[in-house]
Amino acid sequence: MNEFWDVMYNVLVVVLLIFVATGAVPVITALVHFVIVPMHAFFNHYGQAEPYFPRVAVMVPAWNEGIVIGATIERLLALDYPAESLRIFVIDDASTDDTPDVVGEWAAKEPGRVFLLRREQGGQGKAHTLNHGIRIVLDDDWAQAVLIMDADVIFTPSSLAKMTRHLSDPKVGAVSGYIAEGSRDRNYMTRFIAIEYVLAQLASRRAQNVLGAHACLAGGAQLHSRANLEAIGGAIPTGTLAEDTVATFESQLHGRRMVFEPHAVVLAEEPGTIDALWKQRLRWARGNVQVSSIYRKVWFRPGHGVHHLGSIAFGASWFSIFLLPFAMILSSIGLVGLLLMQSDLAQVVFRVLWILAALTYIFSMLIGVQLDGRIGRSSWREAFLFPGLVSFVVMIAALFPGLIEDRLPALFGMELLPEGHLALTLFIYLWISIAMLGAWLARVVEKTGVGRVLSPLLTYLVGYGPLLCAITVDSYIKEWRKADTVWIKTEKTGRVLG
Amino acid sequence: MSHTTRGERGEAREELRRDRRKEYLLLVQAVIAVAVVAAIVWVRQAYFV
Repeated sequence: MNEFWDVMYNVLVVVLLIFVATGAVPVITALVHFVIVPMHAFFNHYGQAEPYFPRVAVMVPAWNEGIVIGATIERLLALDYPAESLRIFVIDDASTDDTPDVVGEWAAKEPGRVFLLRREQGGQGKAHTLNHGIRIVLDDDWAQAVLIMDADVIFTPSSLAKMTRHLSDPKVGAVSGYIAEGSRDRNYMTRFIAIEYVLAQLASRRAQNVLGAHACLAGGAQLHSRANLEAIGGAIPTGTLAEDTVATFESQLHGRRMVFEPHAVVLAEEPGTIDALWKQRLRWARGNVQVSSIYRKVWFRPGHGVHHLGSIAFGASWFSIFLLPFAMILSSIGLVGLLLMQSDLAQVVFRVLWILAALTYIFSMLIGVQLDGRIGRSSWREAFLFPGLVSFVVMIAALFPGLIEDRLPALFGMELLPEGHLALTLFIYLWISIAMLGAWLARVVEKTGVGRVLSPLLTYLVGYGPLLCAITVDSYIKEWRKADTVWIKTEKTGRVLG
Repeated sequence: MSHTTRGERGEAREELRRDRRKEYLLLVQAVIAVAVVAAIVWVRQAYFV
């Protein structure tokens, strides 16, 4: 009988170890991605690019953008790009503010360069609005390329020419620029987003350039060749909340290469509150749930001659983000289970997992803060508190055994009792899951009287990463319950740098 | 395609070369990051294990 329980015990230990190992998968994937980033020095598209100035139709979808649209048009007209090769089409999605009046004034002032396309019935979302304009533009043979952007982003003067040079290679179907956080009124949230954009774009999309497969070209700065747009049906695919991701996938499935151009900088105003971020990212995360399902026959099927979306590296990268909350929860369960079973392995696997996480995080953040000097200087605190202050301390505890649990209390003449040690260990093992609840709490308290102070404090404590994971969990729930897929616009004030 | 002058195209070509060269900075940045990580590992091995 004892032998039976020994076997059961060992089986359970193995299962719990597998649970813990799931937490290592996203860490290893991130490490591989960041190791690939420097390879962009050799494996990039600059060798095949050359100066190229095609006729570009700029599509600006606009719904109640009266505050920002004038400045956006003015900046577009001031681009370092041949004036005769640039036409701006603002597609007004039945705005109820002065958007059509502002655009109308510009169209009158700049005839043949600025156009107002009005939809009398709107509210169907960005893709439908864009398609209204794209159909009109493709009916005419003037446009050789189509730039899809958001109404509130500011293209820096050289950005468009830096993007079009890649279209000189007919194999390239679309090019994306670097959307940099550029809010004039910065706060803790915009600084976190700034770091996230550096990591997710300047780092991760360089790695995707090297791997030859792109998850998503930025919807706010997406330049398509006419041939590419026509190949995917002459319209942006509708029916999901991730129209830019679907357009990126479809372009690659049709055999065209995607390029991320890190030196084409586009400034955007980003949400300044957790609530605004939550609404924006919930839409993105739900879109990703839909994309994961739509392309279920693409994942992990390498060897496709036309595209690399089925490669193991790309699939691991996509699902590491998509399933990150599951990995965190399973990892916690595994560690707590091993601890309760009094297995010595708990301590060992905890150290291995967290040391790996700590070194990956330090390596990636050091790369990140160097990639964009402006963001690195202004947001270094958020870079180091990206996983949260508690996780930061846990990483130190894992890296330097005895420092937190023994040497620190000894400084104050104290000693941690065995019960305290056990409670602390249990808390640390559970933390990666508790952090998501903390992020949810930070959103709840934001709306209260103390939210102005407490919400940023909680966010620094639990981290921005767990906040994004909490939003992903919310997206699973919303998709599972088939909640309404309403396209909620992110509120902007029009105060962008540049 | 538009009528760009030879000067404009030359400038664009130079900018392309410059951006291509800037990518080599990634190697320097990676070396700095690896050096810091190695230093942390060394401190751990020397004083905490």
